[in-house]
Amino acid sequence: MPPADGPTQVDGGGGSGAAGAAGVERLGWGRALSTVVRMELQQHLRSRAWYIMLAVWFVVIGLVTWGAFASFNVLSAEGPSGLRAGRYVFEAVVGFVLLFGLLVAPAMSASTISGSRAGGTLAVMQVTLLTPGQLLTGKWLASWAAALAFLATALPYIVVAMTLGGLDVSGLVVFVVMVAVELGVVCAIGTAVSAISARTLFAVVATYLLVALFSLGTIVAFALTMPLTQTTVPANIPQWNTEAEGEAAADGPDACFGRLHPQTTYDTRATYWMLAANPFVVVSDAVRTPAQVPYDSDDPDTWAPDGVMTSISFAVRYLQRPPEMKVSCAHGEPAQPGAEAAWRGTPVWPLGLGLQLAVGGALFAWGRYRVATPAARLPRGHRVT
Amino acid sequence: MTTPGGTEEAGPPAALDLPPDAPPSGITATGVARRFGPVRALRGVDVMAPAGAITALVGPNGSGKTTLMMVLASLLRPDAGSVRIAGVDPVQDPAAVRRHTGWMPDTLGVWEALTAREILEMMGRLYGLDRDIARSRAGQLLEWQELSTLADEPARVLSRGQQQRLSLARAVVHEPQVLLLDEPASGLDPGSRIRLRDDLRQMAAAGKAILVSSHVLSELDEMADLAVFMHDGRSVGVEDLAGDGAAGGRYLLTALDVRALLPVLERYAVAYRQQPGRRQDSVSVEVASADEAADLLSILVAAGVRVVAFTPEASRLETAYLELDRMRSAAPVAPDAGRTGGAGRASRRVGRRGNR
Repeated sequence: MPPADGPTQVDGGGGSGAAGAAGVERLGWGRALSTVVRMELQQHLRSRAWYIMLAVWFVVIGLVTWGAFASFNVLSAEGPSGLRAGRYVFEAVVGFVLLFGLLVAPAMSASTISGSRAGGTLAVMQVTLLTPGQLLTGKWLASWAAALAFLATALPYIVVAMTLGGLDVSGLVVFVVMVAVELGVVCAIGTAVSAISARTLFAVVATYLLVALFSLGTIVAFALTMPLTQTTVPANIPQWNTEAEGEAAADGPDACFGRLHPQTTYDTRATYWMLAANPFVVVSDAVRTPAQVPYDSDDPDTWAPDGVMTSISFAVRYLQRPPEMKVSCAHGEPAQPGAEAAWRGTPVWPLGLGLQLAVGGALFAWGRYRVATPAARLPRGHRVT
Repeated sequence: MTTPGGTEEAGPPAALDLPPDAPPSGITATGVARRFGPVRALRGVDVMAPAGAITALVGPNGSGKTTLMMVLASLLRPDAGSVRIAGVDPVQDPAAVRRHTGWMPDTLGVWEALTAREILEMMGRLYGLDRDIARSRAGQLLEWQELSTLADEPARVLSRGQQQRLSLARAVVHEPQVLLLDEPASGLDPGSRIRLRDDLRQMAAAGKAILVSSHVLSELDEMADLAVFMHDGRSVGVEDLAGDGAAGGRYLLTALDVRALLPVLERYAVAYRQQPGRRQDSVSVEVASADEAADLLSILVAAGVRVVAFTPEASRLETAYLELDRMRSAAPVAPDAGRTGGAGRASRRVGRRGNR
């Protein structure tokens, strides 16, 4: 017999007015989310396989760090100390974590709702006081937290990169935050798709395709439209200062001579935005390029390769340039000294993140509709009697 | 095992005092229809499950029992008809219905890595219980269902019967007034079945309205007060199993010496049927009522027949079910009168015919 904890006699037929004592008619968001997240994390993370995976991941990131450090030393032709290797190594780690996160997050998020639907636990949660929005948000936060574990595992190597020098801390924080945000976006898409789709496999595949649409589709779209942006700029022949080769490369030709000829180039100002929604572009573009370039032109030994994220950011900003800046002696004028170095372009990450949030938000709203009960329709393939 | 016919401690532990101002309780559904694309799962169901009683939902596989349960549990929106759970419409105010309804699905949804205690605690939290209350309630329910020793093991180690018990505990974690149990006894061993019956009886005695579905009649016969029969998405009859007027039908009569029995039966012109198979010492007789059965028995005993057993051949639920089936095949159901409202009316007419 259960212990008497308060009155044990159930009052027959009563109870409608018991909301105050026995619970609430509406469930608060804090209680709902914390409970759902706890249930999800305990259900999915309480397995040895998960920790083995994280351990493997830790080793793999270590290899990436070591590889980035080694290649930096070769590229920069410095001694083995590689004092400014920090940023290069850090960007390699961040890029790899983002790449791997984009591979892992769909698998973790896109099975949440369709998986519990198949396991019969979704309906059990739907008959509680949870609202569809709370259910979906809780599942999303749980899958995001699991994806963040991969980022957290990489943090020791970020500390290692910091000790290598050449890093500004604010940029580092922005990098990590933006990777976390991107993982959140992917998890939101995966969770929403798993609520929309009846089958787990379809949800996972559809999420991968959406992530591929952002990661590869943006690049494919940009590459396909590139020829359409071909244009010509009248230009003549540059005359290079032959005495100081190194400086000439930086500042452009000294003078221009000869007749103007149409020079073929690309005006990608109308199409560069297509790359904006790429997760790598969003992350790398959100970080300000360091104001102080470590390269000192008087000392060739200080030359250092750009990190992968800086390169991506630079490439996108380069595509924003007017065609005149891409051609030597456009309109017969040598480029203004320092104009190229001063070119900053406009940030594209707000646009990219906005596009991602719009897609994610729309899918989330659709998913919320699909888990709302009493349901007007069942997901296809569900048992009906 | 809970004490059968237990005292006021019986039933799931009540953690809270419920005020006595009782709103309309129980389940009332009229003319419920629901289709899934071309499949008309429910064509007009009328169900009344009063508080304080166990109502059996009986029907063959695919007759719409689970769909009806899901409509009542506020998971599915009915196309037509009205549903009231404790006086509330689940379409209008699902939260209020959920607050008062416990649903045990036919598929066992178990969080395999969570422990039984965690599952009960978290479900309590999702019903709005405070942390401490949810915790103590989980402990009481585990004790009630004798799962305390397994409370901190992952739920995947529980046997099917233990998972069923956990599922029942989960369904009552928020002390619902209405219980919807979909095939609760399927896969249970006889011992677990008996204790499920006792648990349900105790909860009914405590004033809950309980609707139990099954296609295994013997399972329900032991516990149900009322039976609602479903066939092909309609409710086709209601049988009150608590009354005492339905004791007619075929009786199985076993005597020590069947050769002494048969002449007596023939002398009193009682039609009998020799049992096929092994039971050569038994005959089957038909009586019109419980009175007639008692008369027959006393005549036989007076005539010196050494009667060993005299029992109804089928359970009352079985008898009612078979009788209903016979009537349905004799007088086929009225053709589909329209979609929703028509279906509801048609079923009610058939229901009255089957009802006795």
